[in-house]
Amino acid sequence: MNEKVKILDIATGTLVPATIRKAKPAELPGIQDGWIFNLNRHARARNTTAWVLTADHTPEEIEGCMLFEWKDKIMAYMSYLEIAPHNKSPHKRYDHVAGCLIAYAFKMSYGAADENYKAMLVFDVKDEDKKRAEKLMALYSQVYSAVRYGTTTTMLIQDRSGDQLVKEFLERK
Amino acid sequence: MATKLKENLDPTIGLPADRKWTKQHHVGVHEFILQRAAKRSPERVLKNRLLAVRYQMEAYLQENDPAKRMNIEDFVLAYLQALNMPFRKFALAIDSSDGNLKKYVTGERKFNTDLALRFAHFFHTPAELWLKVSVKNDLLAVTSNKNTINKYKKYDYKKAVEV
Repeated sequence: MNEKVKILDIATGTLVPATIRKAKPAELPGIQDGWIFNLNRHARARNTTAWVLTADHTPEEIEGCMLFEWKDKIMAYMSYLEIAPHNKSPHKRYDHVAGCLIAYAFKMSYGAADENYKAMLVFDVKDEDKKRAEKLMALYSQVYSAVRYGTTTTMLIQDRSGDQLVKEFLERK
Repeated sequence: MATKLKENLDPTIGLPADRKWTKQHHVGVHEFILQRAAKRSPERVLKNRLLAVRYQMEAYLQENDPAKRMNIEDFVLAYLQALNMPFRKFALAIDSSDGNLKKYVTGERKFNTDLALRFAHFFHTPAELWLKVSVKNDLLAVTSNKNTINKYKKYDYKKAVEV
C-alpha cells in the first residue's frame, strides 16, 4: 500500500511529490549508514511493519523511515521514526518528512480492532540525553499535540490532533 | 515557539536497543489509553468508526493482491455496522429499496455515479472513493481472466499508425 504525499524541498521552497511505502527490513538503513537506529534490525521484530518515505524523482533514496507495531495486537505503536541524515538540521534537504510519517502511522491506528484504541497512536521519545528528550517531548506536544504519559518518555497522539496531522500532511493539495 | 523548536530539533522516535517497556509500564499505558477513550463523546466514537471504514476503503484501493478483493457491499455493511443501521433502513433513506439496492452493491447490476453520490452524501465520503472501488473491482474481474485480456491485446496504436 502506497500513500502519495508532498514534502518541502528546502532549496527551492516548493512541495515535491513523495510516496510512503512498505519496505522490507533488508532495504532499511542502519547505524553503519549514518543513521541513529539500526532500523534494518528493529524492523524484524514481531508484529512490526516498516515504512519508508521517498521523493518520487529519487525513489531509490530513503528520506525517512518509520516502524509500526501492533502492541498486544490492539495498540498502535510507532516503535521507531528517523529522518535521513541529509534531512537533519542545519543542512536538511527536505522538511515535512517526519510529519508525513507520523500522520501515516496515526492513520493506521484506525485499523485497531478494539474501538477504544482507534485513533490512538503511542510512541516513545529517544531519551539517552534527558534534556534533549524533554525538548523533543515539548516539540511533539506543540507541533503534533501529543500527550505525555505521566513523567515517562511515552507519548500519545489522539483523535482530533491526529486528524489534523492527517489533513496537514497526507491530504495536502 | 513551535517553529523555533522545530528548527533546532530533528524528530527521533524510538527506545534505545537496551531499553524495553516494563510490565508495569505496559499496563499503565493501556490504562492511560482506556481512561482517555472513556472521555470521548458519542460523536467522536462514531466519527472514529466511520473514519476507520473510510481508511479501509482507501487502503483497499492501494492493495495489489487480487486475493484480498472486497466488494462495495463489504464497505456498505461496515458503514452500516458502524452506524448500527439495518440495510433496509439505509436503502429507504437513500430513496431505494432493499432488494433493488442489494443488486447494485453485490455487482449484479452496474454500480453508477448516481448511487456513488447518494452513498457519498449519506456516509460523508467522497463519491470518487465509491466509484474507484467499483472500477477497481471491474478491472480485477476482467484482468483475472487470461482469455479476456488476450481479447484486448489487438488494440494497439502501433498497428494503426505508422510512426
